[in-house]
Amino acid sequence: MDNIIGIDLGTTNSEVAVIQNGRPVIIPVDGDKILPSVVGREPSTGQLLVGKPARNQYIVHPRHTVRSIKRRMGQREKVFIGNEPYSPEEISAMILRRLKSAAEAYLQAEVKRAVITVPAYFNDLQRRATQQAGEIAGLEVVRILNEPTAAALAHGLTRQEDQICLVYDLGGGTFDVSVVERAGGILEVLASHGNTALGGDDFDQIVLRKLVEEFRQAHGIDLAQDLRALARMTFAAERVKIALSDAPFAQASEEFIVTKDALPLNLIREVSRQELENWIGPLVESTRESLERALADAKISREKIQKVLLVGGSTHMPLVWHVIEETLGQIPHAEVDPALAVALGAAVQAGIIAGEAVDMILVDVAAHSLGIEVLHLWEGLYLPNAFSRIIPRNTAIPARKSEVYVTSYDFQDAANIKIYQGEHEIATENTLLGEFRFEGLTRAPTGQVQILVSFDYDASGMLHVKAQERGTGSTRELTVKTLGTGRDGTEKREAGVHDTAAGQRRVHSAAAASPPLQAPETSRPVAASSQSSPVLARARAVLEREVGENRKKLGEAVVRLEQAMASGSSEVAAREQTVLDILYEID
Amino acid sequence: MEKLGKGLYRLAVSQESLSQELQDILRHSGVASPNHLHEARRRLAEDFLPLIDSLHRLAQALAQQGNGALAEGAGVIAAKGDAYLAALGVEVIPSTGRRFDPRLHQALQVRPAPPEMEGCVVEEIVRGYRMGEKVLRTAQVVVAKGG
Repeated sequence: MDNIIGIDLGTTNSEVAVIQNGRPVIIPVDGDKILPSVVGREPSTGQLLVGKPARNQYIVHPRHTVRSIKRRMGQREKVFIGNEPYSPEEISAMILRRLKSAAEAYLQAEVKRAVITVPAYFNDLQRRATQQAGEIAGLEVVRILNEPTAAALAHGLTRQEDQICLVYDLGGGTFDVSVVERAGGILEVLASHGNTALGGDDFDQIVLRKLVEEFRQAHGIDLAQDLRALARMTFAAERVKIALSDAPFAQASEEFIVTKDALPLNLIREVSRQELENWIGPLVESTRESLERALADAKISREKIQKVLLVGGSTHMPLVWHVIEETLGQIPHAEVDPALAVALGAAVQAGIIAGEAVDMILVDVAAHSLGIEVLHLWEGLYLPNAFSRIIPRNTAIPARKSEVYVTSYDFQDAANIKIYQGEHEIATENTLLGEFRFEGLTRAPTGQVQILVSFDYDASGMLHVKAQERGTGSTRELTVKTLGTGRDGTEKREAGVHDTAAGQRRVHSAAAASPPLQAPETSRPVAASSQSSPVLARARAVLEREVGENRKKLGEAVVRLEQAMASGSSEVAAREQTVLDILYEID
Repeated sequence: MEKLGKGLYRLAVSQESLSQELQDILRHSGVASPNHLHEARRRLAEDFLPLIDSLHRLAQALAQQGNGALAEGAGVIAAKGDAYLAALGVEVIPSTGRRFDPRLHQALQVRPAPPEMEGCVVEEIVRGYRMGEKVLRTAQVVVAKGG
């Protein structure tokens, strides 16, 4: 059978994929899933280098190395490798040839045809240049495919009825947001907006600069001037950033980073997710404007977007999810590995052209959000019974994520950890999966004791919950079975409390009444759906217990607020304030 | 001495996270085909590299402090780490004094040097490792250029 390959020809990295047994798979190149889009020649031997080796020599031989050729596609000017002039197409062809040969080695067959992706904003000249690059590499380019369209294909958009999705693509060095519509069987990019100079590399640099600056202030030493220290710090900064996607704290710990007065100095710095988000916040926030402009250009309202798809490695950051959820009112999808989605989608398109049956890319995802019940301080009001999400819906599993909470009153020495599954901002509106009591907390003023709650969710639907007091290591654990996400959605939940502190296994029939933990002030409440808000949620809860005049007064204000929200009226804020005032009086 | 204590503490922490990694590998590996085993061994080796780096730095720091017996002991531990990697089939990538090879070395900086050194690695910043043909980590180096 004649294989058609799908290629994501990226600015920084490229990938190649193919349909095998009905499913798109990434083809490894030199054992890696991604090939750096860098080309060069060894000056001494003249040998061609593509990928990592070319990248490795850039500092020594910048004149013999070409990076980011994608930014030059469609331009007439030649690019030089040493004294040899090349067109941008010829340079891209070297990358494509490497991908082609990797595919041939993998498939043990000659590959003649390919689907290649380009950004939605590429003009005709740039598209033709890309096609030409394919031809120079010995590939018939059967389709030039828009990257967001490829991502939509990878997410199975071919099989659904007419719908509109939004693709949020935050890679290493570029950012794009596109609105893709499927109508009458055809996928079309309605609008695209972005920033060609924004990506994960910028975040790494910010973290690195902060750490270096702090060290300079503390010790009077500029680590940036010490190559050895800088190499280690660069690596540490990226690692911290990645770890903070899944945990509220991460440590940059580099022993003997530098010597001062003949004594070794260590860099041990815990970075909280909050700090990271403060540092990179303005950059991530800037993507909000692109989201809004893309919607405006496509002339559609955010309610019309049925799905938000994530592309690019930097979309793992919770702040990105938050910005999307706040701007578009929905949780994004990351079922298909965001770093590989475009290449996989190109392979799906290739498979369709070849007339192959293409299955959905089967991945296990959390069908519902998972979290715990907390006390949430909101605008001076305590909202009991709030749902704090730890693993958002649509997260690919297995997943391990954690959040930090604090005690909710002075000298609280025990807390109930109630685990819920669902999307409602009121915990009890969701499904209770299990609960356990965490006793023996250090007695201290409100908010001073921190409890790290970790969720470890495996592909069989088992959720392992661990609560740990920071600083003491005191730990309690519980394993529950989630509902509706396993292969058999009818399974019943089971729970058993495992008391690791005592080293004994025992099962609580029912946890004694004990207050929940409190979300720290820095935490974000679960974003309200269009029909709801934390105030409304609290008001509804209060309504249930109130009678007489209070009930009537609050009830009317709630109805007025609901009407304003439903119609998108500008009165929402004012009416919400009225509800809040009444609540304050009677609650 | 307090700094050394912190360094040792950091090593203990690394070790803990490493054993967590090991458990993960065992948990997620499922069926153990020869390929899986090779893959697991490679990942294990890769995960160990930072710890081995730390051991070498500890030995070096102790030596600089003129702490003879302790430095010697730390050196022995580091050597045991190297032997462990070797047993997994991991080799050190030679760098300093060798001709710069972009397949094995990553240049971080260039430095003027005598003409006969042109194009050679003059300093190793991070040690590189390979497992057969597969480069686990390129050596990060300084290369001589322009005398």
